[in-house]
Amino acid sequence: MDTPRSLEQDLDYLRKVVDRSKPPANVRSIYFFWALAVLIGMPLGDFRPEWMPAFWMTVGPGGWLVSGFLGYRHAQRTGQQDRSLGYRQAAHWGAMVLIISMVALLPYKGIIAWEAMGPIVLLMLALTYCLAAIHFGRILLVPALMFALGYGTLLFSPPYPWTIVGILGGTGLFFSAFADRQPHASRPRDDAA
Amino acid sequence: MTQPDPDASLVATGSQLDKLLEHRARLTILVLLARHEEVNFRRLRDLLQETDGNLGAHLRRLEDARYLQVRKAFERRRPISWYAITDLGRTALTGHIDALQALTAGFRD
Repeated sequence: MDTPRSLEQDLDYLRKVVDRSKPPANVRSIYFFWALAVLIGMPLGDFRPEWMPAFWMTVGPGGWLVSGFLGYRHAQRTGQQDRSLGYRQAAHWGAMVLIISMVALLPYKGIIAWEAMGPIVLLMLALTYCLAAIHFGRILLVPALMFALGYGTLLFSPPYPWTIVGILGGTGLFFSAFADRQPHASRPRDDAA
Repeated sequence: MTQPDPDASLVATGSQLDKLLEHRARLTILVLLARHEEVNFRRLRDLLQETDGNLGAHLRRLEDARYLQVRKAFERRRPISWYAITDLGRTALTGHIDALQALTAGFRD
């Protein structure tokens, strides 16, 4: 039977290994994808506003699928599959895409003005990232804060407001990509088993 | 009336420990597999910081006891072994952790 000291050492070893195995809040390539989408898609509101709905109606749902693929590829590369976490991530971000798509119907029906869509969507983004920070990792509070600042920017209408929103959101996502701890993806080689 | 012997109680609890899981590497492997659905050999080796030979031996013992199952796959033509915990492994792990908790509570008393 183990002595209390060796038992304590074994449990300490176990705790450290389990800590190292914790998955990141998000996958770095997914952060990069969305940072790029935000940096390109948001300034359209200043320079090509008529392209903005089509851009986001394509990149929103399409990006959700791309993110799923990037998450799956990351799991394969790091050698750790957390399917239940993957399903929760897919449900969380999928719900956001669905709800924003449904909100986009409101100006079509004349219930709200088109001008109100931008601030509403940014508030929803801030809320979704805030909830993601609670469920997946605190680092996601950074993009949540940036999108909330973007909401404020649209309210005060400085010159090129959508470009500012794009820079804020993109910066928040890029920062999170580098700040979030990522597991090492080891190169494929023969395993000994 | 005689009081129950605390040492005898500790020995009884200790005997409920799973011998296979008394090694910290094997216990840690099962805990990792209980937390994550599938983990491959390379990732286990990196996390546990064990040599290929040692890890392979631990995994074989757990596989022989049917505590885990292995799925062979190929990535860029190289073999990759993915491990997952079985129901039997999960039951053994739960029983072992219960016994460990009782044992540590006994040491504290």
